[in-house]
Amino acid sequence: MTARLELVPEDRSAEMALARRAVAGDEAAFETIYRANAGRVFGLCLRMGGSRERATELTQDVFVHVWQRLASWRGDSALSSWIYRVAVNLVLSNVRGEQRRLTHEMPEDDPKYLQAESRNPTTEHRLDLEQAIAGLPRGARTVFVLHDVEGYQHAEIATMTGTAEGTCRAQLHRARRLLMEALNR
Amino acid sequence: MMHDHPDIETLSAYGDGELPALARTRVDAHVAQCTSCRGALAQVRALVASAAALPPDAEPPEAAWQEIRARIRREAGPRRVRRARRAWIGVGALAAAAVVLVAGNLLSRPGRSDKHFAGGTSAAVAALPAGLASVDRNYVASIAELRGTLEQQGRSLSPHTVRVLEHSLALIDTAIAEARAALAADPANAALAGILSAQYEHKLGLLQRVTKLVPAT
Amino acid sequence: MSHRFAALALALVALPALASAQQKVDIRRAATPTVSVRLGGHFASLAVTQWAHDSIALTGVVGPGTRFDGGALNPTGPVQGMKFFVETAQGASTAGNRLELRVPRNARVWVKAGSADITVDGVAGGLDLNIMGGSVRVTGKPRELLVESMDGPVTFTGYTDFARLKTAAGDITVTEGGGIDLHLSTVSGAIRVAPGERDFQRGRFESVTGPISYTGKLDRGADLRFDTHSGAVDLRLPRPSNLEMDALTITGTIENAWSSSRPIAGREGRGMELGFSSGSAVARVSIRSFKGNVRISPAP
Repeated sequence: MTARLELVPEDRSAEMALARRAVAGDEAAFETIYRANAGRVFGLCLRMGGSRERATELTQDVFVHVWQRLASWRGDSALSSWIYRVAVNLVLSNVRGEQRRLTHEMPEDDPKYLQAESRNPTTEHRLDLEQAIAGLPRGARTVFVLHDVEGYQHAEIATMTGTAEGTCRAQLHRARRLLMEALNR
Repeated sequence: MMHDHPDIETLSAYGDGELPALARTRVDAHVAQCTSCRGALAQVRALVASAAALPPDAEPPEAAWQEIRARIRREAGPRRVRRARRAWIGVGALAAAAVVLVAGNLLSRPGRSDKHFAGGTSAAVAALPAGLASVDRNYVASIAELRGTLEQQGRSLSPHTVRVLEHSLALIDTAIAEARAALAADPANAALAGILSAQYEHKLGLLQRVTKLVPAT
Repeated sequence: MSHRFAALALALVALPALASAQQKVDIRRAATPTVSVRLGGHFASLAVTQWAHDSIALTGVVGPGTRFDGGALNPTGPVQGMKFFVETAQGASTAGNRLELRVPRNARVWVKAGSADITVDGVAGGLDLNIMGGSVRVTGKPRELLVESMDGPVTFTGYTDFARLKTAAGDITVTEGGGIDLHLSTVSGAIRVAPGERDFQRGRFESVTGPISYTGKLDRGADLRFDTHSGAVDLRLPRPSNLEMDALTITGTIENAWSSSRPIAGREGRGMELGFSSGSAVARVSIRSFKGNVRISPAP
């Protein structure tokens, strides 16, 4: 049996081919990349304290950045991970300069907010939690979203936010306390 | 001791294994004997689990992609980017093509780019696009598509609103015509190209806005 | 803390279609402090105010045959989101539909109407107001302020993190105002900006033919851009100010009575250009006009 040298997993090489086409100017290829990743990026922008309008603007900025820098993605991580890191960095540099942002809003024409027939307590609890997260002070919300929702470690969050790791930990515990107070009201 | 209940932040740190050894031992001992603190600790853990289970995705508006496409076309130049089938061009893309047209001319002779319209994205070196005519054609197509949408909804617009809309569009069209004529006479003028772009964006933005304002029927 | 999450496609209030006489509206619900309220349809006026209660109250009078549709996100417990649609009978006038909405201070309010006079006072959560005609007047400190109007004038007095105010023909007036990120855009309306104590950090003011005036302070580090095709641009700025100015017209004139810097002729002898910088940690002001005349002078 001949050993095959797998440089990248098979699905990664398909991603790389897609990225190469996008870098070469294939708009449909870039649109494919966008469609595959927009939901995740927009979710992050929304949850990090933006209104839908701000989250939309941030999402646009993220994907323009991705397009500008796509040639530098070498396939050593999944494309979606790389895009997500671009998004986190951009959202954080945006959040750093701003004051309190709008809390999470009810999506404009989302019928589920008026017509849902589900009696699923999980759904309503999730909505309570989203609302409570949106009501957190900015620093606490940033750390809580990155750590407890998105799964980053404190060392990474400290680097990304430009704060000390101890401060990040303190912000996280504060966020959890505030959330519990809000949810138990 | 039983009355030294740790606060929520301490329990949170305890749950994450962050307390120093002595403090951890004290909380261990307390929690073993205090039902209420065991309950609070369980609540903290449940909160963390709920957060981890939140759905990561949210659907962005379709207009987001149109704007992204417009911005990357502005950077790449229309000839580099193979367009998708749809005739619809997002707000700014047509204006952007006009900017690229002029940027191409600018790069062939000394001149300053206009920081006022930089908008945070740098105009890349681009081959000259086919010409202003193609910009107009695409612009006209997009306007026609929006107007078609409006005409279908025309019954929902009051005659007064129609008058306001038509008057506003006429003002913008006059501005576009004047800017185009000036640009044709001075194609290397980056500021002028930016002014023309701004008028294209006014027109497309107005049509999109009134489409959004029309009451649903 | 568990709520029942029941079917919500119900008419919260279905007022009987009486042949004559106005009907009183009185809908009250306990609400969360950050409740989202959405109100659309046919009404002549809406006054939104904040109050210190954890509840919302929609009151007022409506004409005969008017119907309310809508519902709450959760039919029991404090409301997190609520939607109302006001519908008149076919061909009926909206003139008699006059509403008042009271919400907790941090509520979010979204409104869409044809021609309505909307006033909002003190709501801090966020506002998204859309009219064809009528008027919009907002006072207070909303975290986000989004207003779109065709020819209704828009007036804002207060401070906001993020504002997008857009009209076709309506005037846009910001007085005693300030904010972080403001974008005012009109075709033919007049834009009048007079910041208060808080100043603006990023401002973009655009018109096609409408005049633009700015009177007042400049925050250190502020970044203000003025764009017009043929509207007159009138800036009245205090002295001394640390200011970096970059103004350009294609065929219009530039007059500088604020400093000793003189504008020069523009490209190929047409139009004018003015650029100067005074002080450090400056505010940046950038002006682009096709044929609107630009004047910069000291604030009174």
